[in-house]
Amino acid sequence: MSFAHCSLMLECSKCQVINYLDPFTFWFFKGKVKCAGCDAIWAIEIDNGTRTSGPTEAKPPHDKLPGFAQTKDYKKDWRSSDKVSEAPKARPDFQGKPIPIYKNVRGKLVSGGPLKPEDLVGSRPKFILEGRPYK
Amino acid sequence: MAMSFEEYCRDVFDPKKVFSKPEPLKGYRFLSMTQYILGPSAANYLAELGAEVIKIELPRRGEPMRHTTPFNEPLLYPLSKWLPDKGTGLGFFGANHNEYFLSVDFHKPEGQEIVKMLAAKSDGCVENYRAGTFDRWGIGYRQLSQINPRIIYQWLGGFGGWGPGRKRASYDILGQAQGGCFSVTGWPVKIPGYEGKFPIGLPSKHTIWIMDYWGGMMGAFQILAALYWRDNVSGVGDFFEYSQVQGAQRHLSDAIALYGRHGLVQQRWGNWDALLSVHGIIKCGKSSYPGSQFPAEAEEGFCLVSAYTDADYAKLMKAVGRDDLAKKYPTHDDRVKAENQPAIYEALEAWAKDKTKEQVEEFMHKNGINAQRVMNSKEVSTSEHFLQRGNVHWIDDPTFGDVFSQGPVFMASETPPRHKWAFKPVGADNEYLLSKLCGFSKAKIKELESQDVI
Amino acid sequence: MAEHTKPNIPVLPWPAVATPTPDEVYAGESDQKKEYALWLESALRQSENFKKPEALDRIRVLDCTSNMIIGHWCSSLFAEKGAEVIMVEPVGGDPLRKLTPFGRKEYMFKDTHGGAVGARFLAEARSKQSITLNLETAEGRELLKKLAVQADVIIENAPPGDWDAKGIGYRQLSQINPRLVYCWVGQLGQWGPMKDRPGNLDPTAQAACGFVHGTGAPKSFGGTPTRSGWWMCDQVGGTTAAIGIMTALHYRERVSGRGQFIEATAANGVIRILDYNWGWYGMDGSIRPRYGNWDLAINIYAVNPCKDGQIMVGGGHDRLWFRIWKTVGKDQPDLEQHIIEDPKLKVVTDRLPHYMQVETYTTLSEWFKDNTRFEAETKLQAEEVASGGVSFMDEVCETPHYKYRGHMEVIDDQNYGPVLIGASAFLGYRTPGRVKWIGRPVGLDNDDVYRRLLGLTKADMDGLKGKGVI
Repeated sequence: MSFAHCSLMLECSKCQVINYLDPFTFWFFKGKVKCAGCDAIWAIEIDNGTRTSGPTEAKPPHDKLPGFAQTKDYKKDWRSSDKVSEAPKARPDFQGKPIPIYKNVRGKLVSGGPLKPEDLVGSRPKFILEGRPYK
Repeated sequence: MAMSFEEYCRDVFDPKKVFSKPEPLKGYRFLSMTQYILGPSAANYLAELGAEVIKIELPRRGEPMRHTTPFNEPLLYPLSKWLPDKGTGLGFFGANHNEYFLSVDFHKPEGQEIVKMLAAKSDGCVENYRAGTFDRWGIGYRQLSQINPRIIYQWLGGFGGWGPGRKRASYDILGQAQGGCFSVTGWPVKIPGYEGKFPIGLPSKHTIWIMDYWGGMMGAFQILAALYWRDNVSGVGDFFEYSQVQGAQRHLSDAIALYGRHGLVQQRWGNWDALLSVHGIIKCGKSSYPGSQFPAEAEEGFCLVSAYTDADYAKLMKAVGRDDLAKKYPTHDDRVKAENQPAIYEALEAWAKDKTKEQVEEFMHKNGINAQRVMNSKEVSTSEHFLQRGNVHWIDDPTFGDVFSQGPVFMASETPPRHKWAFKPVGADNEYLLSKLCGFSKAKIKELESQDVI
Repeated sequence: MAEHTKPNIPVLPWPAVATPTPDEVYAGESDQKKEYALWLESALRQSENFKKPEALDRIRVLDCTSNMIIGHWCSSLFAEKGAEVIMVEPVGGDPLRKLTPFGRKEYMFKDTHGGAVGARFLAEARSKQSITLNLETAEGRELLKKLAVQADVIIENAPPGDWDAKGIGYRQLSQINPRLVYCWVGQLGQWGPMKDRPGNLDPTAQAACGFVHGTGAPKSFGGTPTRSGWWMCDQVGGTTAAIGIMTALHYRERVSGRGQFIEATAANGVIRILDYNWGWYGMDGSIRPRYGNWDLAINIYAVNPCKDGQIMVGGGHDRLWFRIWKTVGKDQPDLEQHIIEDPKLKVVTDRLPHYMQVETYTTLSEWFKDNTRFEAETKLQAEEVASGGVSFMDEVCETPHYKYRGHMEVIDDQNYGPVLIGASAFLGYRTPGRVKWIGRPVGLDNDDVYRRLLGLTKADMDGLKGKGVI
């Protein structure tokens, strides 16, 4: 599979990494992008989402980083801020999956983590009913 | 009157005193056979007012809104007593306060019988399933009004149940997109002469599911008006259909009038205002929390600056050292022109480049100019103003513990709305409701449970 | 400064394209399938509205708000449901009347008495009368007290404490008329550290409540916090005010026989509906980030650019996810394959992290760039995926579905001529909402209202007019 014909998916001809040029930053774009895989600089022009010029090799510095990047076999990807645009985060430690929380931001009890059947009275968590910490 | 007006307001609207005052809808009962936000919120505004609102969801896993939560991260447990290791997402949080939770499978005839028994004793019901579904199940308005002519039945959905688009799905942002409100929010694609000075824009969605939550408010108002009519005039109920896209067009009534009379198609105008100048949100170049690890507060701030009268505008431009712009645009007609606004905001942002939003706001207020800093969700959550007023508050929830929540939608001196609990797990009140309202025995309830009817 | 000339914008008749007929709309559907839709039509069609009663026609509302939309929006809801609504404006009219986009006078709406009004005000003038009253004078305030005796509801938005200081606040008016429901509306409130300053207007509340901060593209996408394109906070707040007033009226009739004091603010209304901001903060201190037109909780559920604009597509579950990529694959199989084979995107919940969304939507936009809104929408809907283009106002006004259902209507108004407006959103079987007229020029109803409510004679009114009281 080759993505050489694509506009927003920039397949680096040097290292074959796919750089995703997200549709907000790059829909109307004239400038240089740095490949996350090999740091090569590519000059590119995109107008209304369609590539009108490039990618041609260019000299640093780049104007923008791609939104995300990974190898074609999906095995390796880049998420650090020197390689791809920063991800919006609600906290410094983004997890992307359920985080068990039993004490809230002001230190009080909250039932924010998985429970077992024996932890319940009816539909209510025992530890909340009894006002004691979960574990 | 010894009390100052502010003291008087603090007293009559004191959120800590709401439980000492009567509930306006005490004794009324509504069924909420709803999912996501549009339907649930309509019923929920009534639950805040003291009505007994019974949320009816499918057994075990409940309705789909329980399964959405931002970034997958925060959940409240248990989802139900059958699934204690699963949680309810925070998407459910905003539209289910004070309610009682019953699980019933509407698809089954026994489930439909339960709904009919409840409808016979209810003042109204709210549903937002695909139009015609409840009618097919024998529990639509046509059937329930036979059982209970006083019932007020509110259906809400995306496009309505009749007309060319009647089969289209109902989603908030689809409503925003198709209704027209997307096309007018966000930065313009370009502002000629100011390339690079302001963000290039694409239409922007409203961060909240506004078509859903506000649509629910419209639904709730209509139900209250119908209650008033029924109880004071007619003695009969009513049937309503609310469509989100129609709501969007109601919002944009002025844009529609401008199109109809003058052929104008309203466009985006970023953070400024087409009707008033100066009345825009400017970038303040300095972060208020420069060392913060929380990106949402580490970035630079923004502030609304509002000086649209001639006197205020002159005062503003003098204060920021741009008297020349005060002289250049002395009247409102001058400074509200599309071609002139960018220059003014460019100047204000240049002045604000090295200031935080707090500094900008303070400076403006000191100079008698209206300003409001753009607050992030933490600043709102910890704001003395909103906390004192109960616009946001901590709820001591009986199931989930100490949770932080938005407050009720208005304040009233005699019969204020209030929050009793955040929400409950699926089917948490099955036994209570089915014995109280249907006369089912413990054995019968167990039987229904084993048959997955409840 | 160069004279600006009015661009030559063609004004099409409305509708420019004929509205479909019922036969066209339901063509090919069996009787059984279309029976429910046809029943809905018979129950809800607005052409029948005026044959039906009105839910609130025993209620009289005095809308004394000015300069903001929040109060006018609130009283519009009452007007649509049949209440008698009287706008009590300052002498010379509500300043809002004069506002017109970019100051363009040619876009105002002229009335038959030689005046003109801007669209923003006109949109919420529906079915209301207009009187003038100068509350800066003692006589004016006395008249207001007399009007309050005759009213069920008063709505005002003066700066906090202003009416109380003038002797016409809730504390005073409730003595005169204990049944009065008195509602104050504003941006941030009558009390509290950030209570309203005189002149605060929307988007003050938008900025203060967290809405602006959360709207718009993330900084890493070149975005900024963004306000709503219209005075959205006012409209939401106005709706909460209507709920508050309606609640108070209900309680008065059923229980207490008394009115009460209601406070509804634009900020409170929108805080109420800012999703999970508050719960999330309370649990672990999260501060809600901006996420542009994508969603923090669902992938795919977003608006992305396409060939001729922007297109929405939604589908959080597997079934829809595969249908969306199947649609794309019909034109560009490589793109479908690329997504389907990525092990990181196999499980529904795994698709939510930001970088997965970048991968998803960039690949999707690679397909969108070659499709117009109509093309993308049609192809996706063929696979039963929810999708729709971002429509502009002219497209909205010509969309067959909205025309058919009467979402907008032309009212041939006595004073303003034919005006196209957003119709009442209150479709109902027995007590539908409706719009009777577009609006009234300033003070046109002084003679009628002061006479019938207060028994003033022509001589009385001439005298008051001479003194600038009305």
